Amino acid sequence: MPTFLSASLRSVFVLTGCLITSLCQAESIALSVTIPTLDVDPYHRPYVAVWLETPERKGVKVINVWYEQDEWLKDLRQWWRKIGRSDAAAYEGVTGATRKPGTYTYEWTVADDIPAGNYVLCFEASREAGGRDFLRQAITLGGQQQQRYQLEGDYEFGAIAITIQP
Amino acid sequence: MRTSLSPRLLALFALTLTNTAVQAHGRYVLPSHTLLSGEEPQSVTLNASITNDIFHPDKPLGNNGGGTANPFLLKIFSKVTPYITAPDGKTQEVIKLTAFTRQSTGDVTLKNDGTYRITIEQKPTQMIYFKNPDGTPNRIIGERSELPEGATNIEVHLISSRVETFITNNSPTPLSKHISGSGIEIGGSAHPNDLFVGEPVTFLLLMDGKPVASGIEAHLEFGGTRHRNKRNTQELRTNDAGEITLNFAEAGFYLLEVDVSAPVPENNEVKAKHHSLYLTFEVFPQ
Repeated sequence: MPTFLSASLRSVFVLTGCLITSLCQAESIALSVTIPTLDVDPYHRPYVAVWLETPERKGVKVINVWYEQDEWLKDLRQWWRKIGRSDAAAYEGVTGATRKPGTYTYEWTVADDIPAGNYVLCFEASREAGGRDFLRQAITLGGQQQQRYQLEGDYEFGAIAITIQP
Repeated sequence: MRTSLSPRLLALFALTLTNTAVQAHGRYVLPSHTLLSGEEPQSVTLNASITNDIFHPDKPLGNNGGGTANPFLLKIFSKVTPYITAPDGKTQEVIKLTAFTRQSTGDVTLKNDGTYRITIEQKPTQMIYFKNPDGTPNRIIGERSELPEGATNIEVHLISSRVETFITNNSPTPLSKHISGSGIEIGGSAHPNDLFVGEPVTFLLLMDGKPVASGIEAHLEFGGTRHRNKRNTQELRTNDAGEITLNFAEAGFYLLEVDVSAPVPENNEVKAKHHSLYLTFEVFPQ
């Protein structure tokens, strides 16, 4: 068999594999996000945004936003410029109240409209009378392998664990 | 003075010629906020000053809000109008600025989504430099008829400026909406409310609505000049398209200054016309 055909066949097989996987179980991103206990007074819970963007830094999807008042959403600066300020509908269904210090685990099912490829997962925290933390992790969606990443915040985030399940 | 002198040199000349050559100083308007979010209308406080220290005030700039200033400044202020342009690029509203000893202060309220433009515009103002009969340098704002008897070395200059900044409430409006076609302005596809450390940004410079010539000088200074020994001014020149590219090494407020001088032919009453743009940018960390 010519190599050309064999390569095509292989890609068909891989494609089918993808399809079957996504039919059986959608790709998901499990997150564990730690908001550290800080010995400061006054303490305000941080505003937190987690989102997906392209390697060219274009916002793709908001995973969650924890906030209290929209007047301060602008202080999640990177998230605000990339998604928040131009598209309120993009985060309408994924908002929640700010969280007290602790570790929060949750899972995000990769939305159907996101094509396979390379992305960057972004984590931003901003705290009133406090600081700001912005962490980024390059990831691949639509792959066959499980991916695990561990990030450590500077101050406003503690440990962040990412598990991508194909 | 020869007409080939650059505006910088003219400014320097003015400084050496007079004790307090106010017009030769820098100017700025510093907004408390450049980015706003939320559904409710929000207000921003503006501080404006004529000063050589970037964002450290020295003299007020504008007084249509019931403050006080010396007669020389009041003469300048009579040519000054502070106003805000709404995101539609058309609706303009006068801003009330109150002069204090060192700065002028006022509030603006942003009701709609989009980018607002703040302008403190000084219409062409006649500044006459001369020497008193005893040879000491002097200058007035006004007419030749107001010069003291026996004045010599008389030079008349027309000076105008725009002191500006941009504020965005929620989603930004493209700069093209705001082009007024008058004086020096920024244009292009970049946005003054989307500036971050390490991301170079290119603005088109317009003079009366058209791209400026290549080689026009612009100066970018990071705020806080008072508290460092070197000003670290970025000296820029426009490219063939009339664009400048700015680089921001630190987060904070920056002042962009662009001066365009046009000498007036010999025998004219006026020696030269000078127009300046002083534009405040806020840059955020990554």
